[in-house]
Amino acid sequence: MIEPSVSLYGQGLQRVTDHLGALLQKSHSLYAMLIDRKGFVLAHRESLWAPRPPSLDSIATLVAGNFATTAALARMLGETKFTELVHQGEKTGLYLEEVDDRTLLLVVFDQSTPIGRVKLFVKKAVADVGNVLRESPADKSETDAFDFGDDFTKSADALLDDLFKE
Amino acid sequence: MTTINFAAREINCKIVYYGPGLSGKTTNLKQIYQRVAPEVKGEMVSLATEDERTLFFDFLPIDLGTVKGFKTRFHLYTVPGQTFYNASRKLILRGADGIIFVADSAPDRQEANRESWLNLIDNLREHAMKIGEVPLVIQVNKRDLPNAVPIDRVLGVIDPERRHLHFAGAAAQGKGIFDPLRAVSRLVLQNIAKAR
Repeated sequence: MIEPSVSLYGQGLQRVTDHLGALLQKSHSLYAMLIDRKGFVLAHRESLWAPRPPSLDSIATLVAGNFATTAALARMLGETKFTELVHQGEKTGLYLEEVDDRTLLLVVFDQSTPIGRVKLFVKKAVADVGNVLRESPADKSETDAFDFGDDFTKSADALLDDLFKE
Repeated sequence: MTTINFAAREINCKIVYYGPGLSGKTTNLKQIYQRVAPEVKGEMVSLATEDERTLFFDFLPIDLGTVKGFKTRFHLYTVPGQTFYNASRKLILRGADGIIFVADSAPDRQEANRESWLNLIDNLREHAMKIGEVPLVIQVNKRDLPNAVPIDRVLGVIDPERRHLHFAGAAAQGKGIFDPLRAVSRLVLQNIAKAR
């Protein structure tokens, strides 16, 4: 089956951001992100007390690549998939869990938070975020109202000519 | 597939540079990184071996700007070209909205061009895509080589029916790096309009 060329996410993404905020509060983590499996950041929150994060684009890309790699490994080992990944350093850890077939939830935490606490609240957040994504596909009236026709392509062409000039 | 986030007013497109090993995919990205304005580019990530051969991918995010109220961004990736890394190429190709095939003009690399092109067709098929259905342009790179094979001969190996736009390039000198990128980006954005 050919994938559609457009993937739509709706207003429910606002609710996702609220869930990420609640997750940070309960788990005492630094950053939380909802990531598209292609490596795009869909939603993110940072704790007020957390230092400024590194490039979120780069984190999302590397995490998506990492998850895709381990998924391929899982299949080779006869598993359907590995649904969660943990990486722990001296001061910082990452916890990554699959939300659905399009999205991943990433939490970054420091040594003040036990991994068990992070896992506990991430599992709940995954369920909550999954419900939001299932219940809130893009509002068709909103997406239909948007015109991606000639005006869009002409505006884009002008910007492309300006951005990518020799 | 292009990701449109109506809530955040963002459009994100994935463009992949494909081609045989050492054809100039990473060089293209490095040159683009050096030449675009600082405010439109993000951090370039390169996962490479000690001898600078791409191990997994290179990545560079570029902001096109706001188009009809949507912040439009391109995520540029390269795949590892060495034959050995096919599993990684398949993963990076997933969800690609546009492809730039970087062909090598060196006389002894024409077979490598052909194998890489066939590999691309195979890997697209695994993602239920056909080569004619994805926006794809060809950069015939290394035109600065003194013994560069004529462009027609390079294309004769990979695209004999001339189904795809092609552009001459000498990426190591920063020449011809933007024409293929502009062309494939245009095709990708036109696809958004058609899909709606």
